[in-house]
Amino acid sequence: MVKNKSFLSERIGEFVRDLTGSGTGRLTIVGSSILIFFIVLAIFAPYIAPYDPTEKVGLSLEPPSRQFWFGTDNLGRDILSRVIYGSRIALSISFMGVAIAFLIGVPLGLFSGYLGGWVDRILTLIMDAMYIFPGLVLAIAIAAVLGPGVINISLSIAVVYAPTYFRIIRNQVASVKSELYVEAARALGAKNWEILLKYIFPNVLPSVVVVLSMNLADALMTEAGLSFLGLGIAPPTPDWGFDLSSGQRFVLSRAWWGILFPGLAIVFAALGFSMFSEGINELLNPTIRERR
Amino acid sequence: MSLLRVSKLKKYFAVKRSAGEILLRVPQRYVKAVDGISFEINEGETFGLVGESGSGKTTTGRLVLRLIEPTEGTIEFDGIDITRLSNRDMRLLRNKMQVIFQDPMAALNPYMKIGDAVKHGLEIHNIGKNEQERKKIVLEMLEKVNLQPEIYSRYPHELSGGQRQRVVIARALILKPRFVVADEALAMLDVSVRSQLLKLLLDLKREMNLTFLFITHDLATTKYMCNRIGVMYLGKFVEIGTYKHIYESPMHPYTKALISAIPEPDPNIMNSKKRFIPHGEVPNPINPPKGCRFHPRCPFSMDICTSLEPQLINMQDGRTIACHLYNSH
Repeated sequence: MVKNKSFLSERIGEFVRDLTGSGTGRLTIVGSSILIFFIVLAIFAPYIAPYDPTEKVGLSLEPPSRQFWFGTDNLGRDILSRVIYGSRIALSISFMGVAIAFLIGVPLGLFSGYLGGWVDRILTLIMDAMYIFPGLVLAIAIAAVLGPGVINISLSIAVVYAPTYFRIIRNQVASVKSELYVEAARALGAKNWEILLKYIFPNVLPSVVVVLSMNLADALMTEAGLSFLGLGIAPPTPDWGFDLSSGQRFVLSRAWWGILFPGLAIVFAALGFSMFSEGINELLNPTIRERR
Repeated sequence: MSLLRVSKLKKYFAVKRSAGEILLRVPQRYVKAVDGISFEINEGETFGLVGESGSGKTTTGRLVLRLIEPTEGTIEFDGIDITRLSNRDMRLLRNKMQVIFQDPMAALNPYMKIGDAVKHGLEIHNIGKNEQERKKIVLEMLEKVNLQPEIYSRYPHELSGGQRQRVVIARALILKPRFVVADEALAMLDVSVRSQLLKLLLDLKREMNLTFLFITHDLATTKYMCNRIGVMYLGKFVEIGTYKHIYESPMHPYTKALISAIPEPDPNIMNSKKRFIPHGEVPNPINPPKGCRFHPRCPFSMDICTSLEPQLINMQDGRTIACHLYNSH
């Protein structure tokens, strides 16, 4: 980078060129538009949805029509409205789950990596044991114990993803703590927590930001899986996973719309998250960028 | 009066054994990075530490600041044995002893602005009443090392190598230390920048009455900086003396080799100069040679050198040397 990047406009210009000029840049744009679309749906659901998602507004299992674009389910509720409202649960649980996982995994990883010794060994052992469990199976077990509810589902998702953050942060800290600037801080007389917070944390944070966005897609799928199995949010709250499972009972009665539209919503939201994180990853990570 | 007195200082690093070696009870081996060295540095003096890579210079510097714990020996700073201080007391003493590292890019936190990096020491030791006063102190210090005040809100990657090293110097000296370890502080800079910074260090040393431990492998800079020079080989001193002793009339064969390796700008002198290059590599510090550590590479090696380790003896001209060649005196 020889170019003068002191002007803000220059930097913005470069960023826009990066976004539009390459395949990964376009990937990011498509991904983030999908994400923004779903976020807008979630926030403005009461204004966008044509009907109340929990009320019987038509006949049972009406096919898509002018009146009900996505048709109605077995209880006569408008599927379009339920898909729109469902984005609220899907997004809030995946964001909350990942946030809780971040808040558990990152501090533990910082301590474990910095302290080393037997504390580190025990924590690493526990986290590795959790990490090798298949995600959905672990989430099912925890959700079954905790019971339904937004917080409980977020917690069970968080338990699945916390080890990922722990492992990344721990390994980064273990290498960063031997850097010269950490030794310089110690020579200044800094306390351990100051070194950890001011010198080590900022240097390990970028590596988890990418993982954060990647986990959002996974968390969304896990949430849908849990509610599909009946371990998610208590009905009648609109939820894509739950609607999928109630819709699939009527596929044999040729009511394909009951399963298609919630399913598509899950696929698109997960796709949006993945494309966004993939793009961000390549834009932020210079080692991948070089290979372009 | 001596500000720093180091005696019989040792640092052994344990060599990692594999699981198989532990099971087979292979004995634990150690890298003897620093193997029983003693020296004193007087107030206001600059003590140079020279030697090849792997001779234990840097380890000595880190030990003296207690950035690593010594295996054995004592380090007295201003009459206090710092090897026995609690971590808390050691932290409080750190404003008196500072360090300037070799690689300024690695020594600065890439996510911390220059101003904050220099200011952090003031915050730790509660110098300055409030934020404005601290900022003022930092700006004064930056001016002292010839840096523009704009640098205050820049990040390390936006500066040049010389500017970064000035920042590192400012960060070390803002606490008004009495003792500074300069660990190859000028080695990574361009020659022109190096001479500027050498002058800066000399000026600051005079102004702030600093005592230096000046670690370098570049003998030429010791000429301008050091009152006394200690030559290290494989974790031990082979010769300690003034600049005149070491540079103009080296006595230990290893010191002779180091001095003869200094390039001479005049090709006539360069060609006529007796080159004296020890053969072979520096031996493995896990298993240093028996007797004199230099004997496998020494052209004057005698029978006694292979069996008996020479002790440091004081010569009549004031230098100290560890070599059997001079033991008869």
